[in-house]
Amino acid sequence: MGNKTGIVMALAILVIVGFSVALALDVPIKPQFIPSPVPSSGPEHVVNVTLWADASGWDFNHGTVNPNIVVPPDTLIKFTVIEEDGEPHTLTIAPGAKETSFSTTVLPTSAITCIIGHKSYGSIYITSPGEYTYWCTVHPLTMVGHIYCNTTAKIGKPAPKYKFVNNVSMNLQNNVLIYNGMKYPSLYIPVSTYLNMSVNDSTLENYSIYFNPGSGINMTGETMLINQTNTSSYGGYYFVNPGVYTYWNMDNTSKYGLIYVYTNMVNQTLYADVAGWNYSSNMSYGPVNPTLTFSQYTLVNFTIIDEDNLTHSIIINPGVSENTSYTALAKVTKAHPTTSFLYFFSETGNYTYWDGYHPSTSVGLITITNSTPAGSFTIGTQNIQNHTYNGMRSFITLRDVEGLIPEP
Amino acid sequence: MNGGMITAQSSTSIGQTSFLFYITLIISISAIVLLIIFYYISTQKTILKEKAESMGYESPNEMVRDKLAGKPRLLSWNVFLYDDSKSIALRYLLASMVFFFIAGSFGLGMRLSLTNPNPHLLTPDEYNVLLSEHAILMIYMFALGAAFFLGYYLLPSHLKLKRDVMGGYASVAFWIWLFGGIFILVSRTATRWYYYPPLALELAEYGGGVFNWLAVIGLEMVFVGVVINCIIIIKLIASERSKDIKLSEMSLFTWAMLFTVVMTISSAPTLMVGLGMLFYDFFNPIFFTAASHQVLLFTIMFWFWGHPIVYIAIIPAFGLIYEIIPKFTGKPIYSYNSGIIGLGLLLILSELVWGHHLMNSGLGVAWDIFFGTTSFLVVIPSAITVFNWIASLWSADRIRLTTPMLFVINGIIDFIIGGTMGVILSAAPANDFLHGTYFVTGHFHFIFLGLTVGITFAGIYMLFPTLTGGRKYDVRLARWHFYLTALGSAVMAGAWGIGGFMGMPRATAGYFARFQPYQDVSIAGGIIIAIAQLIFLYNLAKSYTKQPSISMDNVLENNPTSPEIPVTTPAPTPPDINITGGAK
Repeated sequence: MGNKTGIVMALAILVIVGFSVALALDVPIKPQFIPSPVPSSGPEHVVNVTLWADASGWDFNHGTVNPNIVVPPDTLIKFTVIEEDGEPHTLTIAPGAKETSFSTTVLPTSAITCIIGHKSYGSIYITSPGEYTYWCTVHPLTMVGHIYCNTTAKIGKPAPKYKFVNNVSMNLQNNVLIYNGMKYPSLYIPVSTYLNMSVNDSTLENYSIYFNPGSGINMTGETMLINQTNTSSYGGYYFVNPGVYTYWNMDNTSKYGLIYVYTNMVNQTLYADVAGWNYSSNMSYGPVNPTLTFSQYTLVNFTIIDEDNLTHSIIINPGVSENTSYTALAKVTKAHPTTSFLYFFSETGNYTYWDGYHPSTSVGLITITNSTPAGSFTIGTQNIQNHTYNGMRSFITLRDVEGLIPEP
Repeated sequence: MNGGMITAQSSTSIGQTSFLFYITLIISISAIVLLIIFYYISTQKTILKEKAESMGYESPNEMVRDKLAGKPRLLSWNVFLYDDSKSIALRYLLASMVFFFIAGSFGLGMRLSLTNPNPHLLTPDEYNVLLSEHAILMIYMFALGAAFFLGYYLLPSHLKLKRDVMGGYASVAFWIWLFGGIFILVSRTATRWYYYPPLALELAEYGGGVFNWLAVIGLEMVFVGVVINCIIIIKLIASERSKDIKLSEMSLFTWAMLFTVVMTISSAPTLMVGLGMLFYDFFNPIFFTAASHQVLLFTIMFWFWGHPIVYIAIIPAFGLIYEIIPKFTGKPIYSYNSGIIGLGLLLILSELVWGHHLMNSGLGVAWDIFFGTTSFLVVIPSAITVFNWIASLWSADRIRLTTPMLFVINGIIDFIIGGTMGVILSAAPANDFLHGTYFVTGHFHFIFLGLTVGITFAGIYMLFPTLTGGRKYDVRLARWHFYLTALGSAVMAGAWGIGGFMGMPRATAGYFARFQPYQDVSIAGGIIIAIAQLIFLYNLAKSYTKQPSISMDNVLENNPTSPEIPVTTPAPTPPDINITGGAK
């Protein structure tokens, strides 16, 4: 025996441990059946399928057991699974006529809770014709049925086509949604927009994204955008009613962001002068302190231009008189003579716009009517506009507007 | 064909060529290494054979066993060539130490990942792999391996073997056991050590692991190896024992090994059958599917083995404590008979308490009461054993606190703490709340770290001069190894116990932020334990930098405890004293 046997053994142990740790951390991954994602323009067809989950078979007490589902290609099958017997179930789907491990689990046991009557929702987008198998991995012998996708299938009504599609991708950090460093950016979208929000959850936090009408979190009227998950996910909603919405994360309701759905977008330029808004010696800017009239749900892109090299600010408050409890929305100085900001008028009535530095001379009225705006509005070619003022940040998403599809 | 096509093709073929080149290179190097190993082994075997023939033996193994019988054995690579009992023992020592460090590093990895409530160092999938591998390798490869090391190493001396003829079988059993463990490691199973279906049947990273089928095969191989070993040990004790040693004079360690192997043989078959059925379910799920309403059946088959294995892992340590205490107190153990009775009662009760692992699984209140009661009864043999140790220490004139003795005392204290936590868990109402928490983790880590790990190290330290061919370990480093192991295990398992009592869920990759303090403390404990084991490795390596300077004898082998042998002379010189008192 060599004199160094013990040393060699100690080193060998360390080397083997190193290899073992490297091996153990290289977790093998099962190849999975990944269905095609729904195209941003929406699916061709939508089929709603309700299944009762029973260990004796899908839909055991509800008509045909393990029903065949027949759909045309490019169909989004929306499943509603209702717990029937209080046992754990999954909804797993694989291409082919048999149950295989090359599958995707649409609803795991955690989603189909063991509470009788509980409904869980999931969907799969089927693009290519052929036979698919759906089953429950807990009860593979009894709960197994088939999906047939063929071009002659005539069921399912067309999905709503979206006028506009907006994709916005945000990062999740400490349960707060962040875009380009901005926490909960305000989202301005035209009405009839399908807002597709994708969340990049690199730190595997738990989250679920909801929104509700109105400004501020309201847990009674909320709608789910992204179901409870701990990985990157996405979800969307077709906004057809204008107004202010609040989007938030159920796992951290201390912060939230706003979605402004507007029907009309108007560019409004105002020249700031100590003698009054739009004052000019040759009156080339139109009337001084003009009364501005917009329709409800108009998003106004104000541009303020300094006219006399003095400092001006603009304040907008509801009512017909100046209310000093409101703060300035923007400010122009000699050094920064031009600025712009967005203002969304969600309520009808009168507003007052005035200059915080020259309140006696620069003051005018804004009237918001509930009339329908004449003509159509333009989306413009601008992509993203970052606007920072006094720590206030706004953000427009007007991207991906090429998917303009006529509304049905 | 245009130029672009040619370019594309040639670039592809270059890629394939370099890939083939590297594959060929790897295969060639592996082949050369294997050839060198084969050349070394075959040369050694030829030399051995010639020597054996020249000395008139029929086979080299016979000569090895004959020539080496009753002599101290060194730690060396040759143990993989010889198949006498002590060489087999040293194979188990080497393998179990390697697996101890592998599984320990997995445990450390889990601790480090839990510095943050959200999983941040490891993904949940990686955490599950480390969790499962840590448990399976520690129990089947380290604890059982260390038990067989102690058994094969000490029994031939304690029993004064007439003949040592089962080496061939033991060698085969070792390789089956070892490859079973390697298969489990390579499978990267994520099924925890329970192998519960339907999780174990789900061959995916979010289920039991993609290669979980390999882990099932590996565990079955481990079982085959373990059961062969148990039969060999029973044969050693029953029929190869020297006539000089009556049953009533056998050392308590021998009794402990006997009870251990009987316990193994009587409980392992249920899970061996269960694993076979589980493996069949991969192809044709008929046994343990929810559709068959027999999922609970596997848990019963598992825990019928799963509880005895817990005792199998600690009873050899109990026996070794009985051997070590007299060496440092100078008096025989307080009560030889109650030692046997305590160990024997544990054997019987171990088969009757498995249901306390399933109190939340719907066995029914009547069964919960039954298993709760039998679990309470385990207190009796445990207390007999602990009081026997305490009485032995109490009646000693002087206790020499050498490193092995410190490990023993710490083991007794840890066993009392961990055992008390176990008694709390055996009450069904408390179990309902504590079952899924770190309280359970704290309970068995107190016992395993104090007894299985600590007493194995105590044994290694006592055998150190023999194993290393007369070398000394650095006493200061050994003390540090002990102090840090004891401190780290108490801190880690203690924080788990308290946090678990507050409801901290176990076996999860993350945790609620309000449990951060308990997790942080246990992480500190885990790191302390890891540092301590590195000190042990360093101590082992350091001892080989010097020439052998002391006797290769050790008290564990040469002086088996027996009540009939009155201790008239001062206690035999333990290795620690040799080191400080100068070499022979």
